[in-house]
Amino acid sequence: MSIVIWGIIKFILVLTVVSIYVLFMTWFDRKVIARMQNRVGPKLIGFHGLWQPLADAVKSLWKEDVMPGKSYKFMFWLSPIIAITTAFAISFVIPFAPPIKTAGGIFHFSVVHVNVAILFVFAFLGLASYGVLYAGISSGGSKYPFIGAQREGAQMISYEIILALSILNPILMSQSLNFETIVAAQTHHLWYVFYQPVAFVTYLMAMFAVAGKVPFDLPEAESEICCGYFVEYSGMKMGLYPFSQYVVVLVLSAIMVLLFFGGWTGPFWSGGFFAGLIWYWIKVAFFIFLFTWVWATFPRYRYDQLMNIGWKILLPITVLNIFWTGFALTVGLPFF
Amino acid sequence: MLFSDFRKGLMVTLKYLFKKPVTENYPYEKIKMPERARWLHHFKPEKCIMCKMCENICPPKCIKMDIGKNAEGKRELHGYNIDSDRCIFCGLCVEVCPTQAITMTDIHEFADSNRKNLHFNMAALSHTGETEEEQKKVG
Repeated sequence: MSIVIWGIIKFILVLTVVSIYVLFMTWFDRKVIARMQNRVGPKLIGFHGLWQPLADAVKSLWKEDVMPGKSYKFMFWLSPIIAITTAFAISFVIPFAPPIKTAGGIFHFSVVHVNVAILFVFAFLGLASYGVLYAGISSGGSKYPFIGAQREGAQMISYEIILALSILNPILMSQSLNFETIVAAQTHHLWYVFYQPVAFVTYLMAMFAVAGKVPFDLPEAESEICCGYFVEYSGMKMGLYPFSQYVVVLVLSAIMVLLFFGGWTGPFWSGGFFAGLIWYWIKVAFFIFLFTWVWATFPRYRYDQLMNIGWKILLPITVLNIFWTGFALTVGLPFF
Repeated sequence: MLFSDFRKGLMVTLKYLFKKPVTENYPYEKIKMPERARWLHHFKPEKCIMCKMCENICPPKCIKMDIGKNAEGKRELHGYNIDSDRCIFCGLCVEVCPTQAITMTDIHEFADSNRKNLHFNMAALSHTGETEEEQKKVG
């Protein structure tokens, strides 16, 4: 029974914290990109424009909710909900802090602590693209959403393979699908990024594509198809798509840290709950910042370039890397 | 080096993150106009010799001079109107004026919701740049 109560408490807590994170992430994105482009960014509402996201949220709640006449009403209404639900569902298996040992056992800081957390993440990452696909298809034959949804479908199929294949290397090395076990395996020796630099790079590239962020933001390419799949949406329904995207960014950064950068372990001053918490969130914050940084820096890849990078370069590299990891583990090379 | 193009690009944006933004905080802090800024006209009726060169050269024809005769039968300037709604602030009237009767100030915040307030007559034009600071720039 206490498991259920703790589950509900953690559920509400994670939902609140992640929602607040998304709100201020929009502010952070706008501010950092503005400063990188020599602009000021939001500055009028609150301290350095810190309440700007709240003002935006209030504004979008009062917007008229337009629904295209030819749209499939039910799917049109459902698809933002799919997008946001699946994004939050992924965040529920991510540990938000190192586990602590209590009298009654180990207390985990993920809403649901399962041994197949990584499988769960991939199942729901696959489902998350349905929110986008349905948005494009149910917009009643509107062309930009349709093109955006097609691109999303192709991009997800290509890059989730690469994401999964790069994650396979840490899984092979730690023999586990549980985030906390993988982190524990990294405390015995170095972080996996030092054993798997190639898998790290391929995961990094696939991460941007799966989150649909620059330089792989083809589904919502503003300059080509003016925000792609959510062109026909307005108000808070439209807001839910960037919302879910920011949640996916958080989740992918957290997985990156957990799998390749040793989670809550640090090069020094590790051990202890708060040290772990601080190390963990410093590393996650860096990768979240990396998304913003790359957004401010790079242009978008063309569709054929995206497919070339995915299938002709990254896929052979990841497959070869898995063979190499398997070989090294079987032979028992000293650095593995 | 591998990925050096990515690294270079990222370093450029990182460098600008810590630089001061170039944006002016305009409505709250006034912009400092450059030295020879061309904005609202200033007119000195006593210097004007009524040659009408400014009226002729004005590309949008926004200067209207009203030249009549006084009691002694001499030419006299009755009115000098600038329709700054149409003025393109090219400064040709200032360049062409032989006596520098018409000059330009750096008063640029005279937008109005009523067009009629943008029509300046001789009395109004001779009083632009009244404050000391503006007077310096009237030249």
